Amino acid sequence: MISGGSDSRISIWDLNSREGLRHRYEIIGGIPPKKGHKYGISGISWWPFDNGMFISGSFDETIKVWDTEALEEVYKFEIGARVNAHDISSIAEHCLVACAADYPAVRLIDLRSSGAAQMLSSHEGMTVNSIKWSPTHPFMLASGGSDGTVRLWDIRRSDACLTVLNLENTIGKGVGAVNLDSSLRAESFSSSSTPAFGQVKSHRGVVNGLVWLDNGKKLVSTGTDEMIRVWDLTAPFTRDTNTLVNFGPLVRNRYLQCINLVLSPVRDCVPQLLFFPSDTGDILVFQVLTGILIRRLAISLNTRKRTCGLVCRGSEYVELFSGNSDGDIILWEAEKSAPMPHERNSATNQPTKNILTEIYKGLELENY
Amino acid sequence: MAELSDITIGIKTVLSRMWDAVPDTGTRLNRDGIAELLRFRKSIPPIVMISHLHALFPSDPTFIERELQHVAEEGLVRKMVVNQNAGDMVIESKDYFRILHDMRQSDKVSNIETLDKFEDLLKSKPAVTRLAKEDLAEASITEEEGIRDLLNIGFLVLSGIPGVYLISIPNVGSFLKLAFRTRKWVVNMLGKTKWKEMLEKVVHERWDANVKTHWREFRGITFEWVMMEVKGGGWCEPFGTPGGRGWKLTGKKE
Repeated sequence: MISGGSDSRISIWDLNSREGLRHRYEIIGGIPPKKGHKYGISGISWWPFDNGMFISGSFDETIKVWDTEALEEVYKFEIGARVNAHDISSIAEHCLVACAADYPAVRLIDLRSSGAAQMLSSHEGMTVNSIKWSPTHPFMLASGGSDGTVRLWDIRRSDACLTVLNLENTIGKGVGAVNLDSSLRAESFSSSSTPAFGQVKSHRGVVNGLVWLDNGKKLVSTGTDEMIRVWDLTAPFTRDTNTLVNFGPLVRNRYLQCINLVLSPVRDCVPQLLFFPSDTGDILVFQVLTGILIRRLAISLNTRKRTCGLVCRGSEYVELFSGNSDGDIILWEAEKSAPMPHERNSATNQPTKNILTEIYKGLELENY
Repeated sequence: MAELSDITIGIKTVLSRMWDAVPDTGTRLNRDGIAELLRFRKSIPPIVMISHLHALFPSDPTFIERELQHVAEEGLVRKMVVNQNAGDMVIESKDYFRILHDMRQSDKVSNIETLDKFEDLLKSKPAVTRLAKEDLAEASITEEEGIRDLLNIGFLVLSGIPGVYLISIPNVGSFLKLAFRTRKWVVNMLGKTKWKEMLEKVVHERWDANVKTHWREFRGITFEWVMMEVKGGGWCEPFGTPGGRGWKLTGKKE
C-alpha cells in the first residue's frame, strides 16, 4: 500500500509483513518529505497494471510518476494549479491521467507522450475538486467542481461534455441527455428549452467526491452540501437520474478537500457498502443503494481527527485502511464471525477489533 | 389518487404537536401579549420542515426522499426551498392554494388574474421549487406586473440568480426565523458542555425554565417540535444512557 501525507512524505507499506500481536506493517520504502513533492499530497495511486510505478498529485501544482523499485521520479507534469485529485483508468489502453485542479478545466495528461493531451472545459467554477474514470467505458469520466456540478465527459468528442447531472432530474425529465453507446447525443447540451438551464446543479455545494459503481451504470457523488447522491446513468430515456437515495442527517462534509469514497467489493447476495469519511472523524458505513447507515467506525466517541484517506482491499474478507489528520493509518476489519459487518446499536460506538495504528509522520523512517 | 400518504400523515402529525396550549397564567404575557401570540400563530402557514419528516421516519431516509418526490408530483404537497441554510420545507397543496386564494381579499395585488395564472402554472408543475422568468412569461405573468406582485405578497422570492425566482408563501420568514432561533438555542445549550452533550431531561428542564423566551420569543412552540427538527436536520443525535436519552451535537455547522 502507498500512502502520501500532508507533510509531502510518501511511504510504501508491505501488507504481507504483518507479524505477531502488535500488527505492525513494515515500511519498505518511500519518498521523504520535501524530496519528492514540496507540499502535501492530495492523491496517490498505483499504476493500474502493476506495482512498478505509482502516481502522486500534490498541492505543489505537479503530478509525478515514480518508479517503485528505484524510488525515483520518472515524469513530472507541471499543472500550474494545486492538484486536488487525479485518476487513471484501469481499463483503458490509453495512459491518460485526468487531473482535477484549482483551475476550471479538467486536464488530461498522456503518460505515453509525457505531455498534456487535452483540456476539458465546461465547469463554471474556479476549481475542479474530484475526478474518476468510468470502470467500464475507457473514454468516459466524471468530474465534480466548485460550480456544484458533476459532469460526464466522453473524451473522443470534440465537445466533450456529455451532460451535467441535475439533482432535480428524478424521473427522466430534465436537460441534456447521455447515451453511453452512441457517439451522438440525443439533445444538444447548450440549447435547451428549459429556461433555468444554466443553473443546473448536482449539489448545492462543491462536489468533492466521486465513485462509480462497478457496472459503470451508477455514480455516487458527494458535496459540501453534506449530501451523498446516487445517480442512475441508464434510465429508460438514457438520461441521468437522481435516484433520490438519502443517506440521512449524519453526513458531515464541509471541507473542500477531495473525499475518498470507497465501495466494498461486489459480492453475491450481500448489499454493497459505501464507506464515507465524515468530517467529525468517524467513518460512516452505508448500504450504497438504500442509504441505510449500517455502522459507524470510530476510535473513540469523542474523536475529532478527520479521516482524509480511505482505501480497501480484499473480496471475501474486507480490510479498510483509513488515514486521519493526525497522521495515523488505521486498519478496520470485519469481525471474523460474520462475513460482513452487521448492524450495531449506533448508540455504542465501540471500535472494531484488530485495530492497527501506525504513526508515519515521523517515527519509523529513520531506518532509510 | 390516494389522498393519504405517510408524508401527509407526517405533516399533520408535526403540525398537531407544534404549539403548547397557552395557559391562563405563567406565561408572563398580558392579555395583549397573548392576543398577539395567537395572531402570530395563525399567521404562520402550516409548513413543516423536511427534517421533521426525517425525524419521524429515521430508519429509512430514502423512503422519505422518494415518497416526498412522489406526493409532490401527484400534487398533494408543495416543496419549498427558500433558503438553503434553513432547510427544505413542505406544505400540503390544499393549504398552499387556500392561502393563495385568500390573497384575493388583499389589496396588495394589482391584478387578481395574476393569482389565477400563478395557480395554474404551479399546478402544471407540481414538483418544481423555482421558476425562471421564461416559465412565468409562458403563463403570461410579466415582470412588470405579475412578478412584482407575487414578490410583494411573498409567493415568489428572489433567488440571487437573475431571472430565477423561488416559490414561496407569505410569512415563511417568520416561520424560518422561529426554526432557526430554536435550533440555535439547543445547539448553544449542548455546545456549552465539555462533550457537547446533555441528558434530554436536563435540556427539557432548561427549556421549561426559560419562561420569558419560551412565550415571548419562541411563541410557545413545543420542545418536541424543536428536538425533532434538530434531530432530523442532523444537528444533534440521540443516544442511550442509564439515566435516559441524551443528545449530542453532530458537529454540523451553519
